[in-house]
Amino acid sequence: MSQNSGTMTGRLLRLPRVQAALKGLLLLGLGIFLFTRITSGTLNYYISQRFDWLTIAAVLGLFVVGLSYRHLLQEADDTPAAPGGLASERSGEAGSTVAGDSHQHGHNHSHTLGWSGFLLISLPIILGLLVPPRPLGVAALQNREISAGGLDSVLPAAVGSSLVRESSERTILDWVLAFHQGERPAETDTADVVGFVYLDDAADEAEFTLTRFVVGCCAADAMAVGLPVSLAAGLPSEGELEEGQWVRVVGQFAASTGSSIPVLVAEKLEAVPEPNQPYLYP
Amino acid sequence: MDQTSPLPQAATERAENRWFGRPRWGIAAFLVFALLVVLASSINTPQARFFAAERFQTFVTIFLSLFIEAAPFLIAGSIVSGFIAVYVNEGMVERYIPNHPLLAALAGSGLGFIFPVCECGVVPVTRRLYGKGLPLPVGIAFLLAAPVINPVVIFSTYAAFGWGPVLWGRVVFSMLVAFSVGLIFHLARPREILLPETLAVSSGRDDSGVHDHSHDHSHHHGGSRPGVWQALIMAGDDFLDMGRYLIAGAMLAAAMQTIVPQSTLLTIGQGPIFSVFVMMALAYILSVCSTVDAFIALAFSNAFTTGSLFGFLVFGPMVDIKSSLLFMGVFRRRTVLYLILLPLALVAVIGVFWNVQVGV
Repeated sequence: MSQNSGTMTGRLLRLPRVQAALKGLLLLGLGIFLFTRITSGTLNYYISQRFDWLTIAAVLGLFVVGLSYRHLLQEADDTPAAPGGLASERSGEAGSTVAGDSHQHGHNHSHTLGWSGFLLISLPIILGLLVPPRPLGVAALQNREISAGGLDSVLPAAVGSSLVRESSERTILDWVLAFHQGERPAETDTADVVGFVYLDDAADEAEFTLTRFVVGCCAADAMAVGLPVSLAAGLPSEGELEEGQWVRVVGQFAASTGSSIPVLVAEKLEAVPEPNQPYLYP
Repeated sequence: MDQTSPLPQAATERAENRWFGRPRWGIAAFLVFALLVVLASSINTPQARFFAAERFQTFVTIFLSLFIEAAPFLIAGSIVSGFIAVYVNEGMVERYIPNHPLLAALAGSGLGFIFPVCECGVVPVTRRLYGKGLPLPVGIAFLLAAPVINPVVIFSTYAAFGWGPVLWGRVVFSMLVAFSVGLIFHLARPREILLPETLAVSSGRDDSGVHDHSHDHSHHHGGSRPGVWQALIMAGDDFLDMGRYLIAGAMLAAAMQTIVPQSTLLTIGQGPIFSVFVMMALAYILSVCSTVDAFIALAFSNAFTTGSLFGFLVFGPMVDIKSSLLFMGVFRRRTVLYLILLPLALVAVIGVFWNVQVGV
């Protein structure tokens, strides 16, 4: 990759005008990329709602910084010695002759980006455009068994402030927190929760685990929480459930048999589209 | 490397940048790709292919989430760095930073209170301050301590753990480790520690006079341009410089997160000594921002010892995959290794000591 500096295109790339234009465009491109993630509503596939404003600030910052390269471009225009291939070659090979004597000189140090540098920095844009945005799903559970299976270790009491909520409004996270704080389900409690189906074989009496990811900051810190669900008579059996499918489950909790999370007996089970906010926030 | 070329010193350094400097992150990115290709080629059955596609999707989601989360902090840090470049001169740095090594390291580890930056923002700021002649111990202590010793992170740790040994221990031990490592570097010379381009903005003091003030940035003699634009252009250069390391680091971290099962780490990680190392390894791999790592540590607080939580909460913000790659844009490679190993050793000692002696 470093061989580029010797080739024709490499030399072209090292021209100050080209550098300034590409850098400015790249910064603007990153800003636009982030902006489209905000407008398409997929931003929260990546980061918590709480930090949306940070991304907006980043878009503004990238725009302002990207646009500032316009001044560098104008300056390159004004430079009397036209920055031709020869000039660039000269400064490339003997850039140290007189420090600061020309504009070409100053741009020949480490701030000059090569092809691979531009490629690397455009990777977020490239990957973002090639791979359609999707929130974390079942595949992310494959190496997160700790929080999906061993629910005992997930989110101790300190985070929970949600116990005041009506039982029908509680999310999976609210229920898990409530059970962790020693609350036992009352006869009258009806759960109405949305999550995706995770067909683990950990729970005995449950058909599947209704799962959501809990995100504190960004998807990199996602933890899974889940409620074991068993199906009342007449509902589709395990075989008909597709892993990863988003469903809404309405039902009551079975009497606890000692484990900290009681099984939710589904009386109603319906497929729902993926919610706009796929993650829960503590 | 410096002796192999007949070119004058400054040119040699520049040549070094060209031949050895730039491919570094290119290699990092290449390795990640190679890893992915190897993984992809081991997939034969349709089912495996489905899972591989799903995993790649997970990889992309985590990679982008790390990037999107870190980008605001990196651009903010770069803008601060750009303005420092234009409006702060070396005299100011010398006047306000104490000369005595003990005081200097202490000042560095407390500097985060004044500059509340996280682990991504702190790197360009430190790099720029080094260019302005900041003493080595101050910068290194700042670099290591600032991600923890700032109001936001202290508050989030308080929110997760309340007033208790975890909060106090995190703050005190972070300052202690940053202070000690900073002090160790008091003995070193900047030229041995920093990359030539980090020093390039500095005065000719350390050099044979080949570098002068206008050497690094032709922007300096663009007299027609207002200082604000000059600062912003330098911010852009900084963002792109550091962004390479951030992106390579985020890719590595995302790859590790997609491939290494957390449960494997956690099941081997029991006992007062092992648990500390496992939690440090986890912190290194996860590379989450220090503002929220307290909440993640919370998830492990039942199953793990307090000493190992210190491993996670003190070591993680100082060094992780993402930040060690960012360090490579400032320091020589050997220094980066020291900056990983010294905190590792110190935090391990603290964590194990706590588990064995205090045991709460």
